[in-house]
Amino acid sequence: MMHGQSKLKAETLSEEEIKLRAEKGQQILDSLDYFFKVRKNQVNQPEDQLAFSELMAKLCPEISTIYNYRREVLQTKFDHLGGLLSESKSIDVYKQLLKLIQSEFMLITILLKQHPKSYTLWTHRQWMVLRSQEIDQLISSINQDNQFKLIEAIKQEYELCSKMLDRDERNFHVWNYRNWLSSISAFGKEDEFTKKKIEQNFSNFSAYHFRSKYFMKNYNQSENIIERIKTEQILGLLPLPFNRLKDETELIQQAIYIQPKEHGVYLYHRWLVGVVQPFGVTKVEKVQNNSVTLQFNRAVTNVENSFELFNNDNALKIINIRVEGINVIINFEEQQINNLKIRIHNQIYQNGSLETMLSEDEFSKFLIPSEINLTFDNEGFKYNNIIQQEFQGAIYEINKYLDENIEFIKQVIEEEKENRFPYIQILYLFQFKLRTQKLIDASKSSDIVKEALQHCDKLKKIQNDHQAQFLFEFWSQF
Amino acid sequence: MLQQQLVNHLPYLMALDKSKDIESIGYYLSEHLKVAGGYWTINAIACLNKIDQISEEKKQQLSKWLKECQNQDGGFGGNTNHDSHITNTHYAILLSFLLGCELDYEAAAKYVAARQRKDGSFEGDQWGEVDARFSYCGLSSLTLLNKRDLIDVKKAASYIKKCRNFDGSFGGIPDAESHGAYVFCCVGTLYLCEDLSFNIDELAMWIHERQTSKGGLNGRPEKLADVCYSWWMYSALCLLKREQWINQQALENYILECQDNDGGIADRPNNQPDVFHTFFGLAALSLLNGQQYQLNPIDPAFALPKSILINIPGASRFIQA
Repeated sequence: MMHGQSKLKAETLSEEEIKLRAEKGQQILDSLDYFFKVRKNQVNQPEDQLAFSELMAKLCPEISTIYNYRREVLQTKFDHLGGLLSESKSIDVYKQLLKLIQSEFMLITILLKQHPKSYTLWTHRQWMVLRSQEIDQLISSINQDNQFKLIEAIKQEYELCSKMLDRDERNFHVWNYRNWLSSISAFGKEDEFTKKKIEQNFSNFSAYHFRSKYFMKNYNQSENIIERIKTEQILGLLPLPFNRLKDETELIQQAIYIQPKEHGVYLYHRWLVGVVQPFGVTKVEKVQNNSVTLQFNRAVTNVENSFELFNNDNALKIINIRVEGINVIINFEEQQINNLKIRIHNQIYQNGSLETMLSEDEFSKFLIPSEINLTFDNEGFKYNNIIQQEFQGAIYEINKYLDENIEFIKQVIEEEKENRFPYIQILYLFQFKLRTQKLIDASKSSDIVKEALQHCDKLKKIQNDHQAQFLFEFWSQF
Repeated sequence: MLQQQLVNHLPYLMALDKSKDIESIGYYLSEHLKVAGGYWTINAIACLNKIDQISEEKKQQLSKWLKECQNQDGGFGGNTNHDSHITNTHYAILLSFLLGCELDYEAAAKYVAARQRKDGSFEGDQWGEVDARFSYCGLSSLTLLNKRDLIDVKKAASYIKKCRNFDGSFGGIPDAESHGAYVFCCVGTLYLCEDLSFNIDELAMWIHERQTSKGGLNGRPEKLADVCYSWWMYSALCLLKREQWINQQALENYILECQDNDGGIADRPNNQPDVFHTFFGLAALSLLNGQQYQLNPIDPAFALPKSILINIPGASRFIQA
C-alpha cells in the first residue's frame, strides 16, 4: 500500500532510467529466488547466514519470511552460545552473545529509520527483547561472582521510543511498543512522559489516549482502598483523588483554551469529567411483599452482589435481581413487610481490593454505599436513604467540580461562538449533571433540560448535522 | 462525466500484472503482496461488473499460482515460497471465491483456527504478533468456510471488546489508540461473532468526527483524510446501521476527486494511484451509491461482492439486506 505518494510524471523517466530500474528490479527478483532456495535447503546454506539474511532484509525490508529465516538462525546461535556459556562461563562466549544481540538491535534501528511504521520490524524487535531477557536469566543463573553484566535491553528501548516519538509523535507502533515495554518492566514513567508530550503539543491525541490508560491502570489499585476513600473522597469508577483530578482538569482546560477547534481535547476533557461521576440510588420506586424496585441515577449493570435486605432486622433471602435501565428490581422471599432495610454495597470498597482493571461492564460495582430504611403508614411507604459517612461530602464535591467545568465550557462558548465543539461538550456535561444532580436534588432537573435545549438550538444553527440532530433528540425526550 | 471516469479504471486494473516498468521499484518490493494484490485487483474488477473481461485462461493461470501459495501447514504465504500468515490465508480464500477455484479449505481452516490463543485473540503466524486484523481474518475465513466450530467465538469477541477506548472507538490491541482501520477489523469481528453489545452511538459519533472539510475521512484526530478510510469506516457504519451519521454525498465527492485521469484511485486527490486505494474507493462507492455508478455492491462484513457471497453457505446469515 502506497500512501502519500504524489503523482509521478512518467515523462520524467528517461529510457536510461527505465532500463536501470528494470535491471535493479530483476536483481531483486533473482536475489529473492536464491533466498527461497536457501530457505528450502535446495542449495547449500551460505557460510554466513546472518550476513546473507541481513543483505536480504536491507534489500526487501518488508518481506517477513526473511525475518522468519533470520530468527531461526539467531535462535540456533542463542541456544548454542547459551549452552556454551552455561558450561564454560567463558568471557569470550559472553562477548559473542552480547555482540550478537547488540548488532541485531542496531540492524533493526537502521531499518526502522527508513520504515518506522513497519509491523514486521517492530515484531522482530519485540522478539529480540524477549530473547535478550531469556539470556539475561541465563546469565543471572551463572553469575555468582558477578563477572558478567546483564544486557538489560529494555532501558535503551525506552530511549529509542523517545527519539522516534520526537520524530513522529503520533506513530502508534512506537506508542504500542513503549506500552508493551512498560507492561514487562517497571521503568516507564508514563505519567511524566505523557504529560511531557502533551505540554510539547496540546494536539497530541496519542498522549491523551495513553494518559487515559495510565489513569485507569494506576488508580484502580487494591492497596488501602478503604483508607483512600476516607482521605481522598473517591466516588466514581476512576478513584482519582481530588487534588489529582483538579490538576489533570487544569491541564486539559489549558489545552482546550489553546486549541479550542480541536476535537481530541474535548474528548479527553469529557472522559475525565464523566469517569469520576457517581452511581447511586435516587429513590425507592415501588415495594411489594416479594419485591422492591430501586431507581438509580444512571443505568447500572453487574449489581447482583450489591444488596442486602432485612425485614424487622431479619435477613431476607434474595431470589433474583433484575435490571431494567435505571431500575433494579430485587425479588425476595414473599412475606409481610413491616420494616424494610436495604443495604447498598460498593463491591469494590467492600472487598477492599480491586484485582484487575475494570471492564466497562463492571463500572457499576462502584455504587455509593448507603442504607435505606423503609416503613409503611396509611398513605403508603416512607423511607430515608443514609449514605455511608465517608461518601457524604464527596457527592457535593463532585457536583461542585462538575459545575466548575460547565462554567468553564460556557466561557469557551463565549470566546468561540461559531465553534460547535464547546456546544457539543456542554450538552454532554449537562448529561452528567442531570445524573449527579439527581443524587442531591432531583427538582432541579427541569432547569438543566431547559438550558440544554437552548444549547441544542444554537448548535443546530452552527452545523445541523447528524450529531446535532442526535443530541437534540436526546434532550427532547425529557 | 463521472460515469465514464469509473469505467476508466478497468484498463488500469487489467494492466496491473504487466506494468513492471511503470510501477518501478515498488513493484519488485511488493513480491510478498501478490496474493493480496490479486484480491484487490480482481475484486475491483468484480465491483465494476467486469469480471467476465478476465479470460478463462488468465483465471486458470491465477488459480494454479494461488494453489502453489499454500504451504504444508495449510496456510498461505503472500506469494509462492513465502511463509504462511493468517492475512494471506484470508486473502487467498477470498481470491479463490472470486476466481471460482478451489483450495484445500480443510487445511486452510485448520491453520487459521490454530492461530487463536487462549485469551481469544489471534496471532498472525507462529512468531506471535497479535492484532485485531488477525481476529477479523480468523472470523471471516472460518465463517466463509463454515468452520466456526473450530474456534471459540465468544472469547474472540471478548478480546476485541478489550480494544475499546475512552473515546468510544477501537484500537488494534488492548491499550492501542483508536484508529479508523481497526474500527473495521473490530466491528467486523464483533458483527461476525454476533455480539455488538457496546455503545454503538459513541462509536458512530467518533466516526462522524473523522469526516474532514473536504468530505474525506481521516483515521484519527488531526490526521489527513485517505480514501481507504472511506471503506474501513463507512462499511462499519453500514453494519451498525448508522450510515446517515456522516455526510454521504461529501464522502462520495471526495472519493471521486481521488480518481486519476489515467485510471486508478489514489489515497488523496492528485496523488499516485494504486490498486489498494482503487479497490477501497470503488468498494465504498458501491455502498454509498452503487446503483448510480452501476457498481456491484461489496458486502460490508466480508468485503466480497454480494453476488458471490449468496453462493457461500457459511456466509448467508451474515449478508446485509
